[in-house]
Amino acid sequence: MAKNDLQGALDLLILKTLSQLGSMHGYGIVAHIGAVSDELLNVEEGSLYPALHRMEQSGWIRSEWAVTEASRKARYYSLTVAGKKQLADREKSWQQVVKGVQAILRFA
Amino acid sequence: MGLFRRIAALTHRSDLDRNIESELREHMRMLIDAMVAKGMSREEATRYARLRFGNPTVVKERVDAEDTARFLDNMLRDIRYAIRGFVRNPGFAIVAIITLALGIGANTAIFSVVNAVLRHPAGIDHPERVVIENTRYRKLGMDFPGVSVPDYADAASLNKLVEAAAISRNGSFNTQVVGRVEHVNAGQVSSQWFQVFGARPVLGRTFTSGEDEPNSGPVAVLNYSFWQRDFGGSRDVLGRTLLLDQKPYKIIGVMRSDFGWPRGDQVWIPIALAPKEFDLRNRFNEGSKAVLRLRPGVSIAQLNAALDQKSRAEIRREGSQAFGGRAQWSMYGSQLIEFAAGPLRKPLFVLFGVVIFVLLIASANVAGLFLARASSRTREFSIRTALGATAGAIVRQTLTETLLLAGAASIIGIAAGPLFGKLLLWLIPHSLAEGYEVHLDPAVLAFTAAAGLLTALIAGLGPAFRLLHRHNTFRLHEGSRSTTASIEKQRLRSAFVIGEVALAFVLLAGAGLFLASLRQLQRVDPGFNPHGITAATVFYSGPEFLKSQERQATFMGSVLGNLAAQPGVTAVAAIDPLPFDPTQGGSSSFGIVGRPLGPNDPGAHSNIAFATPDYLKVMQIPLLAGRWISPEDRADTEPVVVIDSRLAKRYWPNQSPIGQHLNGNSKKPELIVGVVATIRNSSLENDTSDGFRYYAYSQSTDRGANFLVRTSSDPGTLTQAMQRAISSADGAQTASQIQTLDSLISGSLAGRRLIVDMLTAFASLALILAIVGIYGLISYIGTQRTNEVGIRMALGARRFDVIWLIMTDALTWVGAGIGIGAVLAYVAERLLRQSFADFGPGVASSLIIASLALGLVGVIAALLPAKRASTINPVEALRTE
Repeated sequence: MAKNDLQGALDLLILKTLSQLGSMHGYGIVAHIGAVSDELLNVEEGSLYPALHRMEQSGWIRSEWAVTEASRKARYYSLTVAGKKQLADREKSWQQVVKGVQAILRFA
Repeated sequence: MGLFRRIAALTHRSDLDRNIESELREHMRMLIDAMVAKGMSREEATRYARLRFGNPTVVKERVDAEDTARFLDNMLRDIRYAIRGFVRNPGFAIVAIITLALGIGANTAIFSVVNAVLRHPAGIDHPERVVIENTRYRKLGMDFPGVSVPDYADAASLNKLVEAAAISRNGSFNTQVVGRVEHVNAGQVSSQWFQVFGARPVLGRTFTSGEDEPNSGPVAVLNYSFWQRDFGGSRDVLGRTLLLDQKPYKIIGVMRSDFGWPRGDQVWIPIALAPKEFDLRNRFNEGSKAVLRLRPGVSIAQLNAALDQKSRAEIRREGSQAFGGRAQWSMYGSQLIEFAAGPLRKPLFVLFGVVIFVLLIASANVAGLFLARASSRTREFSIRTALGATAGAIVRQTLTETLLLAGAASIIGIAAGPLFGKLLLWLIPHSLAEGYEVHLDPAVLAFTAAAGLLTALIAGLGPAFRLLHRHNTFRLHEGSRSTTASIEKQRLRSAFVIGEVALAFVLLAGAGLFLASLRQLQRVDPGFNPHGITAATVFYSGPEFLKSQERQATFMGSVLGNLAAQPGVTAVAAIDPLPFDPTQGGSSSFGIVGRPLGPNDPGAHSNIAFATPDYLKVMQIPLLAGRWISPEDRADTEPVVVIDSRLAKRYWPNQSPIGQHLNGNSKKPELIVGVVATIRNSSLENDTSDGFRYYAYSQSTDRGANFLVRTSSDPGTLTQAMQRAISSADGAQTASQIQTLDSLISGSLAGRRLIVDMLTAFASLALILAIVGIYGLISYIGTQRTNEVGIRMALGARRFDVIWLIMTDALTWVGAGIGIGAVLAYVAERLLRQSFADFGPGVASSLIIASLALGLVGVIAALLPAKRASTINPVEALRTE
C-alpha cells in the first residue's frame, strides 16, 4: 500500500537526505533539509527522532555511533537496501501527489 | 527479527532511553555551536536551542510511542492478512473452526460440570474450608460420614481450628397444603448450620444461637423452591405459620435459591438437642451428620490431628477393653465437596480425561490442515522472505492465524459449552445431580481461554517451526509448477495423523471396555427379582403414631389389605430399609446369647431390616432353613429374628443358627427362626452388605415403611392406587415417593452409564475427526504425487497399482496409530481397573473391535482420494511438468 499522503513527506525528506549524504546524524539531517530548501522546510526535532526510530525499527535505515568532525559523539544514520527500495516507492508516489494537487490547482 | 528486537527493547528499555537522551543532548550542542558560529552569544544560543527543542522528555516519549504504534500496527496487519486469507479460503477456516469448537466446546461443557460439582458447588462460600465429620471403626471395617452428638461436641470444641460447627438430622414431616397431606423433608439443624456454609437468606434471617435449644419457640427457614411452590414466592411469608405434623413453626426466613444442603430438604428447623443427648453414653450412636467450617489457613490435617487426640482421649477414658478401643474407633474430617459429589466423582474425572483427548485430536487435525495449507503456501512465504520478512514475522503470522481460529472456536465453546454442561447435569439422575448448578463463572472462562490458547499453540507451532526450518533455505522453486518430489516433508503431518488415530483408538477401546463392564454389572444378580415391584415410601407422621406399636400395626395391616385388593397385584409386603434406595439404610451391633466377647473383640455387627410376612414372596428371596416371619409373630409372642446366609456363615460356620438367641433389637432376647439367602442391598458394583437381621414389623415400632407391591401388569400404573391405599388407611400419612425397584437398581448404575454414554459420543466424535484428518492428508498427497502417478501410468502401471501405492501410506499410518493406541489403551485399562469394579472383561474384544473400526475408517477415508488420484490422465499430468 503506497503512502499516498502528505504525512509521508517527512519520511521521504529523511530518506532522500540520507541517500544524498550517505550517512548523517540527526542535526545534520535537519541542517541539510533547511539549507537545500533555503530554510523553506523546517524539520522539528520533536518529529524527526520518532520518525528516525520508526524507520530504523522498520529496517529502512540503520544507525551507529561515531565521532563527528568537531570530535563529538553522534549517532549516524544510513539507508539499508529496503530503505532504498522504500525511497524509490515514496518518490514515485510523491510525484503523483504533486501532479494530482497541481491538476486540482490549475482547474479553472 | 523485529519481534525479538522489540522484546529485547522492552527488557533494555533504560538502555534505549539513555541512547536517545545522549543523542538529543548532542543534537542540542551541535545546534548551539552553529548559532554561536553565526554570532549569537552562548547564553542566547542556549536559550534559542531550548525554545526550539521543547521538552526533551516529550520527544523521548514520542519516540517510545512509535514502538507501541508499530506493534499494534503489525498486529492489526497480521490479523487483517489472516482474515483476508480465511475469506479467500472459507472452507478451510470453517472446517478448522468447527473442529476446534468441537474440542473446546466439549472441554468447556465437561469443565463447567466439574467446576460445579468438584470445585465449587453453588451456594457454598469457600467450599474448600467446609468439612464433614466421619466415623471409622477400623476393626469392623466401617467408615461413614455420620457422627454421634458427643462426636459433634468434640469437633465443635476445637474452636482454635473451627470457625463454625453444626449438626443435622433428617426430619420427615407431613404438612397440610390446600387440604391435602404432603410430605416435607425438613433438615433439623443446629444454629450455626448456615454459617458453616456461608449461606445467606434472600428474605428474613436464619437461626440465632439459642434457637436450637429445647423449649425455644419453633421457627423455620424455607428452601427457595419450596417457598416458590407452596407459598407462591410471596414476600409476606415471614411471620406466617408452617404446620409440620400439626405443630406450628414460625417462618423466619427464606434461603437463597442456590443453597440446598442437606440435599432435598424443603425446610430447615432447629434441632433442639436435649442436654442428655450430649451424654457420653450416646458416643457410638451415629444418627447425625456434622459439618465444620475451618478457620482460614487451617488444614484438614491439622483438624484431623486434633480429632485424633480427642478420639484417643475418649478411648483412654472408656478403658481399652471397652467398645471404642476394641473396635478401633476414631473420628476424622474430610472435604464436604468430595462427600457431596459421591458417585459422580469418578465418572467426571474419566470424562475430563476423555475430553482432553478430544481436544488433542482436534488440535492435531487443525495442525494437519495448517501444514497442508503451509505446503501450498510455500511459494508465498518464500516470496515474503525474499522481500525481507523475518522468520519471526512469519511465525507471528501463523500463530495469529491459529489464535484467530481458536478464538472464534472458544467463543462458540463459551456460548455452547455450559449449555451442554446443563444438559449433562440434567441427564444425570436427579439423586446425583441435585443441588448442583452449572454457571459460566470466571473459572470456566479462564479454562476455556486456556484450552483455546493451548489448541492455538499446538495447531500453530508445528507448522510455524516447519516454516522456520524451511526459511533457512531459499526455495522459490518449491511449490511452483514443477514438483515431483518431496513426499518426505509430510512426515510431521503423518505424525499428527498417527497421533489422532492412536487417541481415537484409546477412546473407542475405552468406550468398549466401559460398555462391557456395564453389561457385566447389569448381569449381577442382586439376590432378588426386582422386575414388577413398585415401592411406596411412607415416613410415619405424628408423635403419637411414632410411639404406638398398635397404631402402626393397624395402619400397616390396612394398607397391605388395600393394596392386595388392587387388580393385578400378586403379593404385597413392607420393608425398611428399601434395598438400593441411597437415602435409606441402617445397621447396628448385636450380641449372641451364651457367647461372651473375647479381648479385642468389638462384637457382632450387621445391617438390620424390618419386614412383614410376605416380603420373601414379593422379592422372591429363597428361604434356606427354618421359617420366615409369620402372622403368628405378634407383639405378645416371643420376639423372633431371621438372619441371612452371610451372618449364618460368619457366626455359625459349622452349626445351625436356628434356635440361638440374639440381643439386638428388643429388651428380650430374640429367637433365630430361619435363614434366608443374602442380597445386594445398595450396589451392583460392590457387595456392601454386612449381613442382615430381619425383624418382624409386628414386634417393633419404626419410623416408617416402604410398601412393596408385585404386579403382573405394568408397575407404572400403580402410583395413584398406592397413594390412595395409604391415605385411606390413615389420612395423616402420605407416600413421600413411589418408584419401581428396577429404576432404583438402574439408578445405582447411573455413574457407569454416564461414562458409557459420554465416552461413546466422544469416541464417535474422535472417529469423525480422524476420518477428516486421514482424508485430508491422503487427498493432499494424492495431488502432490500427480506427476509421479503420471509417470508410473505412462510406464504401464494399472489403476489398482496406483490406488494401492497411495493406500499403503494411509494404511501404514493407521496401523502405526492403532499399535500406539493399543499400548495406551492397555495402560489405561490397568489404571482404570484399580478404581472401577467389574472393569476388565472384554479387553480383547474391545481392542479388536476398535482396531477393525479404525482400520475400516482409514480405508474408507483414504480410498476416495486414492481413487481420484488414479483417474488422472498421464498425458495431462506430465504436460504440467
